Amino acid sequence: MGEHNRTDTRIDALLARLNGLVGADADALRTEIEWLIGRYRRLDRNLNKISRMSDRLQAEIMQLNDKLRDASITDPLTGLMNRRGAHDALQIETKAAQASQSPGFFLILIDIDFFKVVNDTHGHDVGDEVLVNFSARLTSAMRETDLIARWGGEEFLILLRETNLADAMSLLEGFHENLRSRPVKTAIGPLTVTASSGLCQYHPRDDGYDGTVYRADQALYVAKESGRDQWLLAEDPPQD
Amino acid sequence: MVEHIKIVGTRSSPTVECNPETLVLHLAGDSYPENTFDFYKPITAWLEAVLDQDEDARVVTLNVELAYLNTGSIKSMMDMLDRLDEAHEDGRAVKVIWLCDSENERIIELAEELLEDVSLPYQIITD
Repeated sequence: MGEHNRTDTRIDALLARLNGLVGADADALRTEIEWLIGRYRRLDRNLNKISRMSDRLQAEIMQLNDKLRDASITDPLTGLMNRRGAHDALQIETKAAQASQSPGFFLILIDIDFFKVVNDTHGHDVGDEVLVNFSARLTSAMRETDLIARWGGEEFLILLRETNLADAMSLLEGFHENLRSRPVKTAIGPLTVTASSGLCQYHPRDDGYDGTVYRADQALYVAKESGRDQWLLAEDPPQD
Repeated sequence: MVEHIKIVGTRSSPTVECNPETLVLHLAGDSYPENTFDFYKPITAWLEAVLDQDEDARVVTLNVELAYLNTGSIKSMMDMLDRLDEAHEDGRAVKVIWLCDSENERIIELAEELLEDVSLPYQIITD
């Protein structure tokens, strides 16, 4: 703004001097300089306008970027975080656990039992309904601080922060009990759905969160193999 | 004789036709080419050449159907509008028609803002 005022002052002084001149040359010079001044003012105005428009475009691009980022970590069917988002969150949580030497987060891998049968018997639309309702049930069962993601197909990952083993176990048991006793609503009527899960706490001996996920997956596998509709606590990582 | 320019549009650059028979400069599509100034250089040069033909009494028309302009394209558009406006003040017959998609509020706003300072005849048509 200071620059602008200084230029204006000089333009005014120049015009005053030009007005003092007389003769045909002076008139021609005045016309030419007034044209240049008009041109300068127009360019100055255009520059301001372009800056404004450019800022607006940039703001829109940033907003779009945010939307894309959200979309890239969201599962479109259930609205939960997707596997990519879960990886990001797990990475952050693992780093925090490593830095603080605190006991670390808990992780649940939970898989809907006989989901293929639901799809094959009632069709994929009903299968999708089950996935959506199951996600909603998980969301309402977990705490605000827990992070729920669709890990793939009919498998979900839950990250429990700031909890202890007893609370994590009771939360998970409560969910299984609730699922078992209250059928899931679908277009073809209520369907009783059960799930199997593995519960695991991050351990410093885990090789990053991959190790924690692996142990939760092992527990889930055993829960499936030994009858389903149950949860199992994962084993500690082997001693070095 | 001023040349006839035809540029086929891409995802990021507009379809262009500069017709010396009708004196219509038509731009359509999205405009965010990699090097905006190089892209618009022959177009602004064409306009300059047409407006330099002082004896031509026919109307020079800038016909815009752009849906998106990056900053460089906005600058080129401003330069063209300034040049047309100057020609208008000198007594040349010029006009600008900007066709906007009524759903694209951003482009309507941009067209209005670009044309608010000019004295030449213009129309912003929304459909």
